[in-house]
Amino acid sequence: MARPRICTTTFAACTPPLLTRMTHAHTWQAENGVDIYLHVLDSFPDDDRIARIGGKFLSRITGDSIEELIAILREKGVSAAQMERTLALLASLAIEGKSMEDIVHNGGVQALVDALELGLSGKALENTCKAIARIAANARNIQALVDAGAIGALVTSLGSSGATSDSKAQAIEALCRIAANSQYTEAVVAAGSIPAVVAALASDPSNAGLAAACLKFFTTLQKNNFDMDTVAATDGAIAAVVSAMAANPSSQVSSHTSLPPPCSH
Amino acid sequence: MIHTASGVKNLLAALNAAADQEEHGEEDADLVMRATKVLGRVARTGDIIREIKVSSRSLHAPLSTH
Repeated sequence: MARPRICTTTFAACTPPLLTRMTHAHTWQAENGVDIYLHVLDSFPDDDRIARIGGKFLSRITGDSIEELIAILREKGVSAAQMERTLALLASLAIEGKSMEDIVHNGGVQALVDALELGLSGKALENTCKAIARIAANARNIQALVDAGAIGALVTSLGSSGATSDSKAQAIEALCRIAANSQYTEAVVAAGSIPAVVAALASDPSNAGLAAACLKFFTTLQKNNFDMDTVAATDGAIAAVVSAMAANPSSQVSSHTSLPPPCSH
Repeated sequence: MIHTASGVKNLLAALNAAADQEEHGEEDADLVMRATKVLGRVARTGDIIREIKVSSRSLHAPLSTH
């Protein structure tokens, strides 16, 4: 396959490394820009700068398709690949304010919460939870999420067969943002989130993202005056926290110290 | 005036190549940031957005596999 013709007269601002990369690129002809950008976002999952600029960029390119994307979530017979792509796009768009508003105003909250119960693949589940977590970043959306049944659906997703450490981390981040509103802290606890989060942490304590999300969740409960002895008394909680801190000694995980020390029990 | 269509394709190619790296360093992240900023600046007209959006597949095409 012939390599793409390199147009060196264009984009004079391109730096030498960028031009070098262009000469080695060969797969763009079979792609479109949106797919390429979703691939980029998937390749830099922990880079907030790229997530934000990417969300802004995709909003410009596909922001007029939000209603259509939400309709796909509600369709029957959608292929797993199509569902995965749709959820990846919605998760990326949800980081940008205007697109997030459009998702909410077009019924996207209920559609995303309902999607959690569709038996999604791990990647699709991760992106669904990521979209919900990003929507939950705006306090004005919490009520809509609660009304849509997000709390129960997120807790259930932690134990679903398709759940991965990354999807669990996103689900717990979403629960954390809902629980941060003191009006809903009890509801999050009542949905069985504590044992579910402990089980998630125990399942992969070496995963820094998951461990940080779990410990941030417990810290959020503590900030809202929840009795942390309840957390500490949950089967396996202390052991899971200790394992996570031991496995991630230099990360943010170790900065979370919300649990009472083990010697108090 | 830049050759926009070619430039868009070349930038998308660079982004794809950066994403395809087995390990992603700071240089790759910087490249993605720069390329996205340029694409964001040029994607202000319908023609360019279409160029980025549907160069060969519809919006509903399945995710590419790499």
